[in-house]
Amino acid sequence: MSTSPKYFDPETLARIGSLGLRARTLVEGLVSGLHRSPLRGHSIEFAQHREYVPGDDLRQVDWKIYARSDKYYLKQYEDETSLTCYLLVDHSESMLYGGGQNGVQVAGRTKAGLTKLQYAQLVAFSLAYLVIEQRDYAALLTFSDAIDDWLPPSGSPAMFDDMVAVMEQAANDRRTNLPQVLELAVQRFNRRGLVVLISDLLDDTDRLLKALRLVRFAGHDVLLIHVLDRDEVEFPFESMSRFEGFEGLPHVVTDPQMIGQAYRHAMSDFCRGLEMGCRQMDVDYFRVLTDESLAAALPRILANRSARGL
Amino acid sequence: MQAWHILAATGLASAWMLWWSLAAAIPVLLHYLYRRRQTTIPWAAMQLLLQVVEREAKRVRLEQLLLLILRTLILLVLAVSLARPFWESSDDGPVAFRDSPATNWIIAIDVSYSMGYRVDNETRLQAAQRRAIELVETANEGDAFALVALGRPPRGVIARPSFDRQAVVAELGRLSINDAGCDLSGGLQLIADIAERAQQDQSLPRQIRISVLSDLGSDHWQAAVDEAEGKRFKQLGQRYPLDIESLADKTVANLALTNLKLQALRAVVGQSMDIDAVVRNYGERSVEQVPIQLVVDGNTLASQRIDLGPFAEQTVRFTHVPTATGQCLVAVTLPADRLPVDNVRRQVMDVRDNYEVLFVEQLAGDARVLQLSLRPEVSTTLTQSRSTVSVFELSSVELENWPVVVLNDVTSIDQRSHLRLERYVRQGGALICMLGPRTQAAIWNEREKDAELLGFQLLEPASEQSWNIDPLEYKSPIVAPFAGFPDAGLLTTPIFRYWKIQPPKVEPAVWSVELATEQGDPLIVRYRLGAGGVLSVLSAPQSGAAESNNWNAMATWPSFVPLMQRLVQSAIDSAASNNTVLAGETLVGKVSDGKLQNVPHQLQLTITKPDGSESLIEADEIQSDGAACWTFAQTQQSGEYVVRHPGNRSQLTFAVNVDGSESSLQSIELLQLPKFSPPPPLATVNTAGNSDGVERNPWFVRGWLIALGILLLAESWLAWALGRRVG
Repeated sequence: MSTSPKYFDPETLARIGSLGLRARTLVEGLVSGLHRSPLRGHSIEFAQHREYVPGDDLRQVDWKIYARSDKYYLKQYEDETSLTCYLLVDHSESMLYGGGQNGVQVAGRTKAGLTKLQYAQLVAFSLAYLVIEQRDYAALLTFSDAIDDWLPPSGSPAMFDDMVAVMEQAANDRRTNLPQVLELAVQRFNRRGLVVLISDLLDDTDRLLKALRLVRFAGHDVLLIHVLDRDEVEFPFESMSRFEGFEGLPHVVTDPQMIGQAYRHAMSDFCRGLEMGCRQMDVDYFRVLTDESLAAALPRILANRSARGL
Repeated sequence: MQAWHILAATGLASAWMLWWSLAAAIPVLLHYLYRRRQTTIPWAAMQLLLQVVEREAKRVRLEQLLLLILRTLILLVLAVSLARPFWESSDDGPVAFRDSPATNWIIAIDVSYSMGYRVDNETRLQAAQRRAIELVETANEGDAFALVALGRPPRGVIARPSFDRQAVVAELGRLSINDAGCDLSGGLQLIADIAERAQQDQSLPRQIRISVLSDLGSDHWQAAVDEAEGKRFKQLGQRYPLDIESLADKTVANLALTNLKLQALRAVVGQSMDIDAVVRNYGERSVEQVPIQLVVDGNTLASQRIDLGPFAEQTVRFTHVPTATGQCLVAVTLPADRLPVDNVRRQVMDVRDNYEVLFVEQLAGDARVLQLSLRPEVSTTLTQSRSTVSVFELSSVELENWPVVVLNDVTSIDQRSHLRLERYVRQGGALICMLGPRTQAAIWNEREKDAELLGFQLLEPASEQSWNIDPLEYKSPIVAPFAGFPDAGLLTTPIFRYWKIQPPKVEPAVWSVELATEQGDPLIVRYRLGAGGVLSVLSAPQSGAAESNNWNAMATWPSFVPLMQRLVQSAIDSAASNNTVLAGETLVGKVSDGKLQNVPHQLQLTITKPDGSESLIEADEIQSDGAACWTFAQTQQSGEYVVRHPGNRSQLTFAVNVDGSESSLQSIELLQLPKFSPPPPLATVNTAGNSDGVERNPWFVRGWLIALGILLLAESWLAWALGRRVG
């Protein structure tokens, strides 16, 4: 995948008002830079050779051709299995946080980037596009404290328009209840597939991990994309601040400089706890920041999946 | 070391730089301003943030407070350092540093009688002496010492600072209690004078330091708290380093005789008289069965026991019948306690077979009414024998033979008689002058210009009408017995005319109105002249029988006899009262001996003090009548003073009492004294005499700078540690 900054820069994308237009802009970028999908099945039927490009899995290099021609070629096989990808996008209130969108100056500048929700939606679009493009099935489930909307698995390009409509209409004023949502969602997934959970995961860690374990027991492969704003990780505030809580939580007045380090430690522990829990369950965990270019974030996710041979 | 020492020895060379300490408020202000400016941030990860805030709140508050304190302290210490602090003291008290310049010590010790209060077998004065001797013995080489006894009057025992420590210690040991009290104003002035002279004396050290050891008795030190003496005290403290050590005790117990009143100072043999003694308990505890004794001429004649509650007062009455003529010393005593000096009170009483009154009349028989009023069978206190002379015979009468002379409405007296009467009164005689219709005001006024006898100028007689009498609250001893007895007739005494007078502009102690009209005009006035006194009655008693010159009908009224008797009694008493004085007051006497007239040199008398020591006193020049006056002012000890004439066997006894103001033993607190900024220490000139080699307790200033450095380091470290945590 080649990088096309004008398509993947979060600030550029944030300036595009319409979700549908923003998604298509991103998809166009993906099309121009993407050669193939790593989200594919396995087959023993040889399809073709292809020249190696950086980022490809070295295990698929045909070393015999290299010995003869001194060039790198990959062996590609026909994909005979179809993949069902369940995209679970968190639409709770906490996902609305976007750092500078309220005009708050952070580290001397006013941020104007994507909210966590917008970023999650774009990631979901991108993955849906890739899945449908390789003739697999994609399903969409939006949730907060319950399942908000559900688009069953579909391989049609029209799915893309449906996803835009669903996401644009979704309400975003409710709390998160991820464990409950996962339990309900698993009951709806009638075919084993890849469950991609895109959320800020601001919920009880233990309950979340239990719910993920349930998903794994149901035979699904799980990809956890943890979307955070950089402010939430680095806590860069300097002056005395009044922090207004989302999702009905109270406010607190504090000096960020005095508790910054403790907060960062707490956030780091929180993320590490999630990652460790996921690893124990063989769940892929990725943490992305909303100011991170999708051109960098998506390949990182996909490359990791490729490396797992999935 | 007492706190006062630290305060007195600590100072700021540039105190105005302390204004910078106001900057210490800046960190506090910034802190609160910073807290008030809040930015509102919507926050998603609130659960996490709440947990962190809850966990870290205590630590954050503590660190912020610590940082705030450090920053405030830095500015305060910086301001003090800029004000160039100095300190001159050590743990042992107001002792100079080893490297401090040689010092002139002015040691002032309170010797008022409250310093005689004894605790644990040591009086306050002994404690002060011990402290002063310690100070002298531990002072630096090259220090000089002056010594002031703060008594009444204050005395410069060593007025010019001396380098001879042994002599200073010896003088300290010789200090004794001064029963006259303490003249603080004079004492402070004396200290300032000594310090001033010492500074100008090139042979003495330049550095001056004052050390005051006192029990800070409120009777005289209260003046230093008040405005007038406080200013002088403050000026002294601002000019010279001043240490004050209080030797007062927290709780005191003292019984004192505060007053002794004899019914009459001149008594008649065989007639009983009352003696009232007032006893006061100044302690917080009751006392029981305290024996009080009446002692006359050293013989204990009576004793009573009383119980006294805390801070209670009681009057004890003794009755005494004199049996011998002459002076006798009447004393009332209490058992010795911690402050024995106020446990005895004395009075000198003159006892005679009788007291003779000389009546001087214009016309024969004028004084008959007065004579009748003093009949012995009527009198209850004195036995007066009487004699009458014409005003024209007055110049030839030996006045000294008569304790009391009564002028009864005479036209005038010649100038010689006027001068003789004036001298007679000055030497202790009692004169009663009745002024009435015969009095020639112009002549009397002319005589008064030459020599004051009456003490006032006559103006004119009041218009004839019935004047009501104002007893002036019965304060005068003349009319005091009439108080509570309206039927005695004093207030209704018929007065129709009287002389209006021009009162003199003198102190109330010298001239007083004893009885007046309701309009405020005097009727009886007293004029104290030398050792005696003059009582002037401005409406001479008349029977009212004569129709012309009808000034009053006093002689026909019931009040007449007691009024005349009180008049004579009071005249005698006031003339005799100078034999009993308070400590510090001057003794005045007269020697009369015809044989001395040809003696060219001044007459010397011997006076024996209460401690048994004797002093010689020189009388004034002998007058034409062969009498010589003498005075003796050194009555700082209470007790009996006996004056003897070397040429004859006669002697005169005086009683000197303490004034009682210190018996309460109340002291002021050191903190009540006015605050002042002590002066900076003088620069030390180095051995080469180069004034550039100035040292000012460098370690002390250095100490402040080190403290400042430590605070800066601590603040930097804390800020760094916090910043590190923030980063």
